[in-house]
Amino acid sequence: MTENENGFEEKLKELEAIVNRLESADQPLEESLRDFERGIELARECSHALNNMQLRIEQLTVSAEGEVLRTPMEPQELNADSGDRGEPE
Amino acid sequence: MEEPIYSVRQVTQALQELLEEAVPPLWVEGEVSNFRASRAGHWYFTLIDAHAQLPVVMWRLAAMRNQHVRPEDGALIRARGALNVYQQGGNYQLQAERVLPVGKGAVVSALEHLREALRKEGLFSEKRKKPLPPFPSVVGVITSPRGAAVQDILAIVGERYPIARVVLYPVVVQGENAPREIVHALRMLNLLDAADVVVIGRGGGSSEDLSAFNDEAVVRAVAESRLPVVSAVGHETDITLTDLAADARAATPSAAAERVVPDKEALLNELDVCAGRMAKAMRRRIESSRQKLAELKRAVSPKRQRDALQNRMQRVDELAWRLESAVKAQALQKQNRLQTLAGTLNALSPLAVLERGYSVCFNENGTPIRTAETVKPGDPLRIKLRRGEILANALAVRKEEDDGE
Repeated sequence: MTENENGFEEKLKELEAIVNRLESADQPLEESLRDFERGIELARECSHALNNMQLRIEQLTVSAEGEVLRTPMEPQELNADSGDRGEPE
Repeated sequence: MEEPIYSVRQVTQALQELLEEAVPPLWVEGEVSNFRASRAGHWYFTLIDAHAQLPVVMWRLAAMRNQHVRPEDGALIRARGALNVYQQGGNYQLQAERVLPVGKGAVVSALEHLREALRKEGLFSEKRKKPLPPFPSVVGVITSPRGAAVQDILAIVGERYPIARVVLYPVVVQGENAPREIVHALRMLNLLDAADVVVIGRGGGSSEDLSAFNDEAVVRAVAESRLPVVSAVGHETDITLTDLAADARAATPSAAAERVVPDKEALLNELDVCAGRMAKAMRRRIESSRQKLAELKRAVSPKRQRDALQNRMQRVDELAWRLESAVKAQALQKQNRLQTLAGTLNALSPLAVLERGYSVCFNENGTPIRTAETVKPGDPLRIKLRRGEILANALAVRKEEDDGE
């Protein structure tokens, strides 16, 4: 269900297929160029995502009553600043 | 006045009733002696201390439930149950429902028994282990929100694979509530399909602190999880049962994070390689098209050759130009190799010169005119420009003297 969330894996797979097609298939020049342009675009999108995206963090809890609570968080909210659970970590 | 006379059975039954009324179920501690398991699965043994002894029976169902803490002769244990009278034997006994080992050594031994029982059930089998997804979109983390473990995991995932999302399910990782909370968290992540892979862990600690990760319920939940689980209990020397049941095990939370997400640098490098392979393949394709053009030029009649040549040259040139611009865009990401290629393609293009505003003159045979000397006034000329051509006649010819340069 979470598989298509960022589509990264799908993009990599498409890119891989394009590279293989360009290297092996004897397709018309026009198609090769379309593949090439799509491939370069995919490579750029993937690199861009890797270089520019920020990690997203979310806290999830489900109460005994079955209430699902999702809270987006910033990394600094998770600083080990309060020891009220008494865990020696 | 005659005293009543009782049968043996009456006395025994009265005693049984007295015992049942007076003594509710209780814990008894003692050393195990003369342990026997019957063929039917019942356990018989005697609890002894320095002063007394107490026969104990555990019926088959109770014995099965306590298989992982099966008593051994000489072990100090606690047994819980009700006292009753064994009528045929004329003695009293403890009918036990639970037994617990006592003392530090006993905890280790109970752990060994549980480990063995679960191993026999196949919970740790390699066959059960699920592969980890290579590119998880969502990484589930079950740990204390205040521990070092969550910090380490977030740092590594953020560094290596920032396009992922981390879903933290906060739990306590030690104390009596820990097993229940961990089991609940894992079940919920599965139920909600809230992650592609789950890291369960904590950041090190003494052997006792790890007890939640040796809890049978936790171990079973990990083994049953549909989502792949990586354990990160953070204890190099002491492997927990959760480690054994998990699909992958890491020595520390940081190592677990490295296991679950791919590495950005490796991926970027791979993308570079892909771009290079594509450009190389395209260059080959374009070069082979140029060769085909050259063949055509030889094979086709002058008139048709002109049209075909023009069309195709223009088309190839356009493709080369598009390739070049795509390559240039890619080169923004430090693609030196591709930049070189773009330059090469540009230099190779026969019509690039025309793009810059120059023109080429052909005589009536279609041969390029390189010097004025080869033209006489009145000769037909074909002047090729960036797009299209001009048919003309030479009005006059002015030869330029060699400058002597």
